[in-house]
Amino acid sequence: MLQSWVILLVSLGYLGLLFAIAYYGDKRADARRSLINNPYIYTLSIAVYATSWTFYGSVGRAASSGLDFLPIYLGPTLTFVAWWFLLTKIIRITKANRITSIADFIASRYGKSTMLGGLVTVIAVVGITPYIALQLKAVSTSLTVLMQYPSVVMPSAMVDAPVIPDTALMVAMAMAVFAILFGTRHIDASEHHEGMVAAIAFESIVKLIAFLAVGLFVTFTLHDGFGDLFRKAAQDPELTKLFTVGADGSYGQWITLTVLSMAAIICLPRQFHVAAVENVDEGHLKKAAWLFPLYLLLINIFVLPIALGGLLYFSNGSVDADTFVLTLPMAEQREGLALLAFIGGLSAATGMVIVAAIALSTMVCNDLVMPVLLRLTWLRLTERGDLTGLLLAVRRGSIILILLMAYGYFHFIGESYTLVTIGLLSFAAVAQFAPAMIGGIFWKGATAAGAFVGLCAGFVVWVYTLLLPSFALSGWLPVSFIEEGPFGIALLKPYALFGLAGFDYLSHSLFWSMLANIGAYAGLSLVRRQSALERVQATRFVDVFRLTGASGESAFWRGSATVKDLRDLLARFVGKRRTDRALSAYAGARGLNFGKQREADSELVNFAERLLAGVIGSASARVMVGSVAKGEVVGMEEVLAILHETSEVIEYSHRVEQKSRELEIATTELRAANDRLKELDRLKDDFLSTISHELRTPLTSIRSFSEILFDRPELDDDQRAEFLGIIIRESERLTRLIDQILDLARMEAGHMDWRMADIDPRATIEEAVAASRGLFAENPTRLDIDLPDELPVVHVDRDRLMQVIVNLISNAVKFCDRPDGWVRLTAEVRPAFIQITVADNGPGVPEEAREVIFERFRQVRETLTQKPHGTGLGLAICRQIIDFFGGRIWVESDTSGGARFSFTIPTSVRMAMAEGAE
Amino acid sequence: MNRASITRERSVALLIAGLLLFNPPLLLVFAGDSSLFGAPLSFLYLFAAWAGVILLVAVIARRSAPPGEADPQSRQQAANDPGQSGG
Repeated sequence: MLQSWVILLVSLGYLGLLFAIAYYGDKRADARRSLINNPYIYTLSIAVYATSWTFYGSVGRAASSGLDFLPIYLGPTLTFVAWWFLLTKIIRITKANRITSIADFIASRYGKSTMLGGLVTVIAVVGITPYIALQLKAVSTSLTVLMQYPSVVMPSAMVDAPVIPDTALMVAMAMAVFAILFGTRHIDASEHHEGMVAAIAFESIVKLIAFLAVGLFVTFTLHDGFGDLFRKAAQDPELTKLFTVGADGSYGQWITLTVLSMAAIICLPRQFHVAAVENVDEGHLKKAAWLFPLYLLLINIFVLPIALGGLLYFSNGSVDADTFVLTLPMAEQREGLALLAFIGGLSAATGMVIVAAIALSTMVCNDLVMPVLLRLTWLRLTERGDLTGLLLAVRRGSIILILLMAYGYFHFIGESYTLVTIGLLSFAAVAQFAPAMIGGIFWKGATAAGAFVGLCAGFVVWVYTLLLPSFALSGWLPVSFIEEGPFGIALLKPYALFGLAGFDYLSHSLFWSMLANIGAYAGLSLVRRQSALERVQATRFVDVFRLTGASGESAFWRGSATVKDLRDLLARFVGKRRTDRALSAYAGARGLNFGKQREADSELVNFAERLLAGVIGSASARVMVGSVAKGEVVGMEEVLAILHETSEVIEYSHRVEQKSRELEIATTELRAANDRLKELDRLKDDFLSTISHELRTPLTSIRSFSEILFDRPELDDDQRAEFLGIIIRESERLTRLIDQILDLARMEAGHMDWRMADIDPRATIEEAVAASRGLFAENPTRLDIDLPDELPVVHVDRDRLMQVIVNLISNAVKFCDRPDGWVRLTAEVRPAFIQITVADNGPGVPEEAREVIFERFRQVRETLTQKPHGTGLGLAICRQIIDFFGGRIWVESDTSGGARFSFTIPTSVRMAMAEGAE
Repeated sequence: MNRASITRERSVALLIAGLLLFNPPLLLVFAGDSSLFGAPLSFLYLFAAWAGVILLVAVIARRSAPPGEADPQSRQQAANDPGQSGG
C-alpha cells in the first residue's frame, strides 16, 4: 500500500506544512510577537547541524568503522563548552557590527576587506558543494529505495530503469524552489528569517523523533534491548571490532575528526547563520550551551544499535549500510515507520540545504557579486533607483546555481562515496576559516594579509590533498595522480605530500593545510603592519565587550551627507517602506525631525552604513555610503591620532589627579608640621621669656640685697646675716635653675651623661627621703612611707632616680594642704616593673592640665598673677629621666582632692633573666 | 575574584577535561573488548562521559555571569542597533 504517489504526496504535504510554519513565523515576526524568541527554538535551529549525514550516514559509518562516527558530535559539544567566552563573543560581534555571514565576519574583522570576503565566499561555496550533494544523494537514494517497497533493493543493484528519472535533479530543483521561497521572499535589513528558523526548528524535532523511533524499533522490537543486541553482535568477531575505538589503529583520525567538528560547528556558513546571524537574544546561548549537546547525544544513542541490527539482519551485505535506518523498517513491513524514517531523513536534508543555500547566497550576493557590480562604473548601478529587485535576483540565481553545482558534484563524483566521506571533505574546507576567525576575535595583531594568504594557502592544500584526489578516484583524473603523483613526481603524491605517509588521508590533509594556513596567517601577521582601518576593526572585534555604544563610531565621518541622499540610497537597497520605517524609528528615538533637518550628522551616516551593511555587507556598504557622503572621510591615521591623543590626555589627567591627591596629602602633612612648628616656636618664646624671668628674679634679689649691704655699712649684724642668707639662697636657686636648664637641654639633645647601673631601688628611695627631710622640717607636713620589704633590682642612673623622687616629694610638700598636710610615698612590685607613687592631700591637678604639667614651664597656677612655685622644669626633667629608663610617669587626681604622681621603672633585664634561670 | 573570571576559568577547565576525556589516550583505557551490562565498555564510557560534560556545562551556565559584565554599557550596544528599529 506504500505506493509511489502516497510517498510523493506525504513528502509534498510535509514540505507544505514546513512552508506553513515558516509563513506563520514570518507573520508573527511582522506582528512583533516573535515565535522564535526562546532558547528552545534557538537550540533546535542550531540542531540543523544534524543532517542526512547524521540521519543516514552515521549508521553507515558505524557499520564500517564502529564508534568512529562519534567525534563529529563530541567536537561541537566541546566547542559549546566554550560558549561563554567564544560563542557569546562571536554573537556579540555579529550583532554589534551587523554581520550577515561568515564571509562578512572575516572581511569585517580584517579592515572590511572586499578581497577577503570574496575569498571566503569562494572557499565556502566550493567547500560546501559536496556537503549539499551529500543531502541530495541521501534524499534521492532514500526516495528510490522507498519506492521499491516492499522489496529492499539498492539503487545500484536495480535491474530495471529507476521509476523517477534522475531523482537527484528533481530533488535539487525542489529544494532550490523551497530555499528561494523561504529565504529570499524579500530583502530584510536585519537578515533575519524568523519563519525559516521556526521551520528548521520543527524539522529538528521531526528528525529526532523519527530517528529515535527507528532506534527503539530496532533495539526493542527486533531485539530484546541493548544487552541482547550487543550479545548477538558479540558472537560475530567482525562485529566485535565495531565496539572498540579506533579498531583499525587510527587514533589519529579520531583526533582529526574531533578537531574538524569543533571548527565546523562555528565555521560552517549555515551554523554561523543560525547560531549568530539569526540569534535573537544572546542570553539564549546560556540554555543552548547544554541543550544542543544533549540533542546530539540523544540522536546518537541508537546509531550503533541500528548499525549492528542492520548488519545482523542483512548479513549477506546486499544492503548499503547508509540506508539501514530506512531499510530495516521496510524489510519488517513497517510501512508507517518506514515513511516516518523517510520524512525524518527528508527533514534532515531539507533543513541543511535551505539554511546552507540561504547563507551561501547571502555571501555570494554581498561579498562576491555586489562588490563587483558596484565597481563596474559602466553599469551605473549607483545611480539606479530601486536595487532590491537586483539583490533578490542575485540571491535567487545563486541559490539555483549552488544547487546545480551540488547536483553536478553528486552526479559526476559523489555516487561512489559514502555520505560521511563526502561530508568530511566539506568539514576540512570550512575548517580553514577557523584560524582567521578565532585568531581574529582574540588576537588584535592579526592582519588582513595574513588572513588572506593563510586562507589561500590552506584552501590550495585542501584542493590538492582532498578535492583533486576525490576527482581522481571518480575517474575524472587519472588514478596515477594519486598513486604516483602528478607527472610521476612521488614527492607530490596528494595522499603522501613530501613523503609524509602513515597518516589517514584526512589527518594528512588537515595537517598540511593547517600548517600552511596558520603558518602564513601568524607569520605574515607578525611581519606586516596593520593598516589603520584594520587596527580599528581589530579593536572593535577583540574588545567588543569593553567598547561602548554605537556612537563611538561617529568619529570616522567628519563630513556631511544630506538626509535626502541617505534616504534615497537606503531605499534603493533596503526598500522604500523599510527605509521610512527605520529612519522614523531612528528620528523618534532621538527626537529629531528629518522634515526640517537637511544635513545628516555623522551619527546618522553611520546608522545608514550599518543598516546598509545588513543588506549588502560591510565592505560594500562602506563604498556606497562613501559615494553620497560629500564630506571627507576622516583619514584613519587621523582618527587613530585622535584616539591616541585622547588616550594620552586621559592618561595625563589620571596622572594629574594622582599628583593632586599626593599634593593634598603632602599639604595636610605640611600644615600639621607647620602647626607643630608654630607651637614649638611659641613654646620657645615662652621658654625664653620664662627663663629670663626666672633668672632675673633671683638675680634681682641678689643684686638688690648686695647693693643694700654695699650702700649701708651701718646695718647691724643680724640684718646683714639675714640679707646674706637671702643672697646665698637666691644664688643657690639660680644655680639650681641653670643646672636644670642645662640638664634638660642635654637630655633633649641626647648629650646627657648617664651612669646606668643595677641598683636596689629601696636604698635609693630611702636616701631620697632622707635628702628631703629638710623640707619637712620647715613645713608642718607628715611624710608616710610604705615600702615592701623586697624591691627588685632596677637598671637606672641612681642619682637621676633620686632626683625624680626628691622632685616629686618637694612638689607634694609645696602643694599639700596646710596646716595638717601629709605626703605619702609608696612602692609596689608589679610584673616586670616597679611603681612608685607620691601622693599628697593638696588641691589636685585639674583634668585638662594632667598632661601639660609635664611640659617645660607649665605650671598649674590658680591665677595669672600668682607667683610660680619652683622653676617649672622639675616635672619636665622627671619625664625625660623616666622616659630614658623605659618607664612612664603620670598624675592622677580624684574629686576628693590630692594628687598622685606615679612612675614606673622596668625591673632589670639581667635580674629577670637570673630569676628565670633559677 | 569576580564572577566573570570564575565562569571563564570553569569553562576552560571543563574544555580541557572534555578534550582529555573524549580523545586518546584516556579513551584507550576503555577501548578493550570487555563489556558491562552486556554493552561494550567503550560505548558506555563515551556516552557516560558525554552526559557528564553536558551536565557540567549546564551547571556552569546556570551559575554563569553575563559575558563582559565588567562593562554594563556594552549590553546597550545591541539595543542601540538599527536592526531593532529598522527590521
